[in-house]
Amino acid sequence: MSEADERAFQVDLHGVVDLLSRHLYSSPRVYVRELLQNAVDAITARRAIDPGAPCEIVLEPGPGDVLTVHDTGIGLTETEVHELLATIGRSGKRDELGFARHEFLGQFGIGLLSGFLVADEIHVETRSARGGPVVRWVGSADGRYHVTTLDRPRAPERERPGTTVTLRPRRDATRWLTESTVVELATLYGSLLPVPVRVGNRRINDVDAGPPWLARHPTPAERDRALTAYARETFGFTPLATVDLDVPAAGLTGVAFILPTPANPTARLTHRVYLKRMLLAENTAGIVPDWAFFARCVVDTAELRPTASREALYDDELLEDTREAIGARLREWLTRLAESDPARLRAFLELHHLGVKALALHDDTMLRIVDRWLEFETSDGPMPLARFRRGHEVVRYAPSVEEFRQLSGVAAAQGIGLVNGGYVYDAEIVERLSRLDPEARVPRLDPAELATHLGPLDPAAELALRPFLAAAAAALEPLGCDVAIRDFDPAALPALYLGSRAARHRVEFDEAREQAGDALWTGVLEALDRTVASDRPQLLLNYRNPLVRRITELPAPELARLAVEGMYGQALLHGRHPLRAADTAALNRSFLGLLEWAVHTPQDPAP
Amino acid sequence: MPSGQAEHLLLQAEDLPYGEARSLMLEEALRLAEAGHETLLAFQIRLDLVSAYTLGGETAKAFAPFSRCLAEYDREPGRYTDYDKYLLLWSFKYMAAALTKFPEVPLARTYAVLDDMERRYRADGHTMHPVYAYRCHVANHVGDTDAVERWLAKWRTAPRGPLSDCRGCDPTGTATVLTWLGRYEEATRVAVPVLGGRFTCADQPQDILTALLTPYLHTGRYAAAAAAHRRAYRLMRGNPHWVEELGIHLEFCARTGNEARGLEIIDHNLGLLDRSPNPRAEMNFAAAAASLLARVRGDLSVRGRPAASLGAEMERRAREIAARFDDRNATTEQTRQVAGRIAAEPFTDRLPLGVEGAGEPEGRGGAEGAGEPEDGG
Repeated sequence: MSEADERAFQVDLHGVVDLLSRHLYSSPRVYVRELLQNAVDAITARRAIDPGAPCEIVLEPGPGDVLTVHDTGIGLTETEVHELLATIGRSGKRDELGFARHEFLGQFGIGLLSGFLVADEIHVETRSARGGPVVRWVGSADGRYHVTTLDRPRAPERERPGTTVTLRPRRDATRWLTESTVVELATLYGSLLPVPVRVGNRRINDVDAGPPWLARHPTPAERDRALTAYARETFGFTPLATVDLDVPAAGLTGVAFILPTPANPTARLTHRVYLKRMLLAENTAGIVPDWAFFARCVVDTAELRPTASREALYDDELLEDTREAIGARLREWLTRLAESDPARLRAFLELHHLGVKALALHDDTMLRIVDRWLEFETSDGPMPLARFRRGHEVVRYAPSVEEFRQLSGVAAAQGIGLVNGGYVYDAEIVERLSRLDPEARVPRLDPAELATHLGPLDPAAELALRPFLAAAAAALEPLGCDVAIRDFDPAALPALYLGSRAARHRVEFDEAREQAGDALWTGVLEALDRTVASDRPQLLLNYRNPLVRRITELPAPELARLAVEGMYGQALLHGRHPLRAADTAALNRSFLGLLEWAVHTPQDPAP
Repeated sequence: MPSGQAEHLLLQAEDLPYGEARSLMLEEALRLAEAGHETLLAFQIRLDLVSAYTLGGETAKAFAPFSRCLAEYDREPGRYTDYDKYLLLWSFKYMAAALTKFPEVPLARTYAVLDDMERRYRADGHTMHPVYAYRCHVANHVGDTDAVERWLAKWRTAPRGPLSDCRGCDPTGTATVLTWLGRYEEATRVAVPVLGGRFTCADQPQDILTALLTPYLHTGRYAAAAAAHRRAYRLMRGNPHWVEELGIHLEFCARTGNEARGLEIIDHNLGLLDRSPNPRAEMNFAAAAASLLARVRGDLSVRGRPAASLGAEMERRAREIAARFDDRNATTEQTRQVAGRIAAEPFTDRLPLGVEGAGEPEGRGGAEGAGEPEDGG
């Protein structure tokens, strides 16, 4: 020992360790990654000046769960060792740690300190490839460290340049340093590293193989099989397909595996991300566009920026560009599939139509694929829109599922093809398609317009019905519903309730105004009255229906009134419209009143 | 009606992005809740609808459910949870912001709503920070420079609280106001701490990036402006919620020699104008479109219409709405702004928008810009 030099940390070590363990990292397990990263960086730096330098990282779990890590990297000079913590000393806050990492020494220091996540004491023995003696640094969690230079290294490996780091576990942290845990963690983080890594005598990675998606295979089929096996091992599913990813701007390569089962579009899938071949995280979100919720990716990137904890990616413009680029690759794959393998495309669409629809909202090519291949619910059964349009002169879409269910039979009977636009994105898709291509126009079905498609009565017959219609209108007025009579198929349908979103908004608006608590909001809503359309729902009675015809001929106006209320309630139920309190009351009144008429005998006075 | 169905739809809707699909699902949930006489649930769904309409591009529809919730709450405050009350108070900001956007609503009503909002925030022990912010925005709309300066000073010195706009949206507002005041350098600075951070609000980062376009151009930060445009436009296109902000992107294109890109934006988003969330958004988009179309040479056509005739229609639409606002406000501010927008001169002949991925917004890579903010908001 030539010279001993003990000094207190220039940083509040306890503060930094606390920051690392409690706020920065999600788990102590990252200490293995940090030590591997330091070793890889050191080897990279050495090979930059000496391409033929040896290249290996060895982790040696020893007795008492002491872990020693050797690398053949560039090593540190005495001056560098002294400076080691100064960089971090300037990084009092979590935000700044990210910057400290940009420098070799800063990264080395932070990586080293992460050892305190599991250790009480850290020894470093290092010999610089640029010459000078072996330098020994010993730091302990109580905030002191000392640096000495050695004439003879204690670790035989340090006869040659490189660094040896030894961690003595904290009593409550020995589980992180047992051999099996070290093997597991080194495999997890380091299996793709371009530098050979060993734990004891066990090889962790195969440097020549490279990432599975870059590995060479004799035939495409064999490559497919290998990647499928890799997907099973990594994510636990057999992918429907595998899409290669390549984003040069982010130095990114990888694969996207298409899920074989329907995915929940709102659940954000996570991906496995490597940064320069070191595992960054197994559960990174946000590297594919939201619409691509059917893909799980494994990627390796050289350029994307990690957050200070190196456990996630920074959401910057480059990541956004990367997301778009990955989206573009998936989109190209779909386009190619549409041309080359429609059966496979259909299988894909069956599972993941929501994602494709979400994409089609902004993308014309996808929109055409949707038009041509994706099945919509129509009044002729499920089929793609392009095919449905060929079979119909007039095509409309219903904006809600319940409207579709209620109206598709009536519409079809009038020769109007109806598409269900009630599911997520369907209405927007159909609207956009109409704007894109006048030939592909599928306008929204306006219930009022449907009423015009339903045949009017012969004028004389309608004239004769005016007293009845006036009574019917009076009966439905308190319910806020208009009434009209038409002559249409199917004859079995007595009455049709035509609501609309605008009509419902009008009701909501009027109710809000009635209920407004103070003059202020009454006034505000009055001022806005003009901005709200004054649609009302409509009850259409079907004159072709024999029951309706007999009701219109009823002599007693009171009985006709009960019958109209009854048909109103029945039409609501038939269309699966929820009943308001007033609707339920009308239905009850009608039911009981009709029963009275049914049981009264001719001798009795009419009820 | 199977019980729980309304609640199920409510939860499902909350997973959807803001837009018509989400609002439709909530409306369906509301109908089911009403049919089942679940009045508390109906209250919560209506409150959700207020946000859904406001952030989903249907501003006008938000007033009815809000006033209904407010009246129900006032009748029996004891029935509701603290969270219900919090959401109700939060929604006041939507109302205060939305009312000025409809020329039908007299200004006095907006001030009365602001007073009511202030009274309720005070009664509940909240900071006046958000109240000052919204008073400032109204003053800005009316064009009252003194009032803007006064409220801005109070706003920027008041402590933040749970009802304050999030850490992305609040500086967006400040930047917009500073831009209107011509304090461009300052406007670019308020954004620095949040840019590059993690945002948790659905409106960000696209809203703040858009608010920075004009100040970036005025202060010569062209590369930053181009990057902000690229990133924000991608997140806004095709969405009716952003009609007004899409106008700012059009203006950016018109003033940086990017007419072709501008035409693409008009082509892609013109359809939104017919379902513009409110007249103010329509006015600002139309004015920007008119300005862009006026710079297009030759007989190009956009969406099957000659550019010149579409431009004339846009200008007419913008001026007509501006006149309605100015009638209501008894000022000439909106007409002045629209005229200014239409006649705006380019900053540069041609600002290359660059390949995707090139250029970085200002503030990133600087000590304050990078790193993670404590929260998004």
